[in-house]
Amino acid sequence: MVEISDHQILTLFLQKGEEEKAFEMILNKYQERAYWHIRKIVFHHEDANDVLQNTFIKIWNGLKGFRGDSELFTWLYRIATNEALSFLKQKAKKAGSRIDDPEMTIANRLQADEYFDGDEIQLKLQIEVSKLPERQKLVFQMKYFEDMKYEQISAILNTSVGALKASYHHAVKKIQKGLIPD
Amino acid sequence: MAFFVKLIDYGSIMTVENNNMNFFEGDKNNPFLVPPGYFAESRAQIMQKIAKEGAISSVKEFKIRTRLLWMSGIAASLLIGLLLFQNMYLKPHRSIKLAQEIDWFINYTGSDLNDVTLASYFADEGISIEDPYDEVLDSERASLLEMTDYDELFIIEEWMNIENQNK
Repeated sequence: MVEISDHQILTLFLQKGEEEKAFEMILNKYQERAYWHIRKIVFHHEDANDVLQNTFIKIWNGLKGFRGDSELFTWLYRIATNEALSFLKQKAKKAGSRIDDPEMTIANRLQADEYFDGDEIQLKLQIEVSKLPERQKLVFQMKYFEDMKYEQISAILNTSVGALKASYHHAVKKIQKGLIPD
Repeated sequence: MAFFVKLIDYGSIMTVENNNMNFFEGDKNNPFLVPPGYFAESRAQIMQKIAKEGAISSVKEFKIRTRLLWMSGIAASLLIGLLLFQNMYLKPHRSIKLAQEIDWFINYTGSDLNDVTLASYFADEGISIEDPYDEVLDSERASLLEMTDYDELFIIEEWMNIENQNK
């Protein structure tokens, strides 16, 4: 099946009465990728589902004003990333001082999560990733798990490729250190 | 522990396969799951929300339009009310007041009603005598002007100018 280009979808969206059809095309094309991107940031399915829905509502609301300065894919990823990060911030704010050991909380939650099927190694890796600073975590997720190019990540996070490479390098070092006990 | 066994097996924590760096064998396999049929269901949910959002925004638009209509209706009613109030209450009321004032002035001046007193009254009240029959001039004031000889108005005007200069 020939994949419809973003440009074709956006052109369709601008035609009166075709908005929903065009949006459904965007949803079909990007929903899964956006979901996995969000899921790797928020970890849990229920949270990822909420963030995904908010992301696409925002995309729907913003699509009329989308001027095409960036690629649709980049714009969509940027919204998904921002939504996921604000979700985490709100969650942390709500939890407040109730969390004594964030590492244990993530480990326990992942272990108890019926939608997490990783082995001990994968669990350990996810915990180490969750301990990274926000930007390093994002860069690592996109580079390591999603195999994205630095140029793409650069457009999404609005950061130079050089800075991204440095972030990724630091992230890998920290994870290595976390995985090998002294 | 399996974790350490794997570490020992690999000798190093990192492996490179086909130019791809991996921490462990299989660590890039997605450990996260989704409920069966999730994506189709989620798509339907999102589309439902979008349809609702569309309905909400058209309801909002309708509400705003209705509110604007109400506001412009109220503004128009207020304007009409104000004009009616001016024409049906303020103007007649003012005319009666003026008539009373003029009556009082005529009674007060009595036999002293002459060009000079009239001129100073006009100057005090700011009445123009350029055209006493001007529609703009209150009919009461016009009638007062009519009490004088029209030719004398020029004399009065001169007096008025002097009065105004003195002020």
